[in-house]
Amino acid sequence: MDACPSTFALDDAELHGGPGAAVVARHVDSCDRCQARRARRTALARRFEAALREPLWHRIHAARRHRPWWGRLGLAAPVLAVAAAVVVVASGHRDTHQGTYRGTKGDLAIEVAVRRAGAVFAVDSSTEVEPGDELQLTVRAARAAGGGFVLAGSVDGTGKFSSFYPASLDGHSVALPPPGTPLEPPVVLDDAPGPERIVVVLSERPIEARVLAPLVETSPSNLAAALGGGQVTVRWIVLAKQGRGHPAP
Amino acid sequence: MDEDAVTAAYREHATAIWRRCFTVLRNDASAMDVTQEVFTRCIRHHRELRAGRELLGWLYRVATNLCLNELRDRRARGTDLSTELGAPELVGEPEAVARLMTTDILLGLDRRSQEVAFLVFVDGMTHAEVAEIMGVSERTVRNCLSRFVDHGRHKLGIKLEEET
Repeated sequence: MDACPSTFALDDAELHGGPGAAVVARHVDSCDRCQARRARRTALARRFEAALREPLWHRIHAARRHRPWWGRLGLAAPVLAVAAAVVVVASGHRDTHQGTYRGTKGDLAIEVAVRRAGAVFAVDSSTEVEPGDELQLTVRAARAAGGGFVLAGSVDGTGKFSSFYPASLDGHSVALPPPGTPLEPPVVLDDAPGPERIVVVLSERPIEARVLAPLVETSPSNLAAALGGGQVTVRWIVLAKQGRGHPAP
Repeated sequence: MDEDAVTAAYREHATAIWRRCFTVLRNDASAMDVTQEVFTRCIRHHRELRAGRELLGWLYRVATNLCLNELRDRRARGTDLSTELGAPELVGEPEAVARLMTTDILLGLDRRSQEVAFLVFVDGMTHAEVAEIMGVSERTVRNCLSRFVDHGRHKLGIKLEEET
């Protein structure tokens, strides 16, 4: 090998070996410039592995539940927005956590779209969501259906409630966006065991997530009454979910 | 590749990808952000990926495009790339010189040519390596480099002798 190997060749040789690795190693051993490169690469690798590798892994997984896709997709965002807008409507009328949420009732509907591996598709009763799926909720509600605020979250297979909107239990219901506008940011599903039971609460006044959480976990079938009766509308969407673990490497 | 393989991929490739991002961006926070996004996409697309050299090439490409986006954003914010990227310890290194030259000239070129020029001039890849990881022919690589050279000449106001 006459020319110095590329960074790709160095990384490939270091990571995967193979017949080319010996050629790369011979070159590096005989090249002052590449030996200096090797020293710099080693120093950087040590720095990353000592202080950054593990925190970064946890950051990657922590970001999966609440992560907008629109901001990261740049010019593709409007295209996906259109695609999401035409997805099927998953909506309902029962204040119950039993069964998958389907059908539309007059003044309230919740559209659910999933983005997976670059494709956006609608959620229906046959959809099995997966960790890593990006879930988008669009609430189509007349003001008469309950008011101008929405609080949404999910109860995982262990019975634990996580708030999506607001993003944490310290917040309260968010103002309903204009009709047809999805709630932001989309939700990236984590690897908590399924099924994913999503609750959407519409109300005339904001509700604190911290108030909703224990009610959702203990009295899911009677939420509307517990939260204020006629001023509140509750919808459940139950999605089957595959589960996977993410051990830290 | 299943999700356990993604964990293995992180264990195996994270250092190389972060190191590459840091070398290009010269900023810890930016390198972390870009590396995070690279592996987030790896998780999202894990079913389409195969471990080994092919995965390394895919990660390189994603990292390249995200680094270019970051450089473009910095430029849009009015950052002087030659000052920000020209860390003292890199002055005089061929990689740094190439990087400083290409990052400034790359912006404004079509994306594929940007990526090819970046891989050749910043990473020092051969045409064959670029063709392999981008899934294009070496002829396409040469054409992209041609466009890069023409673009650079135009940007620098250099005219060929026969044009003058």
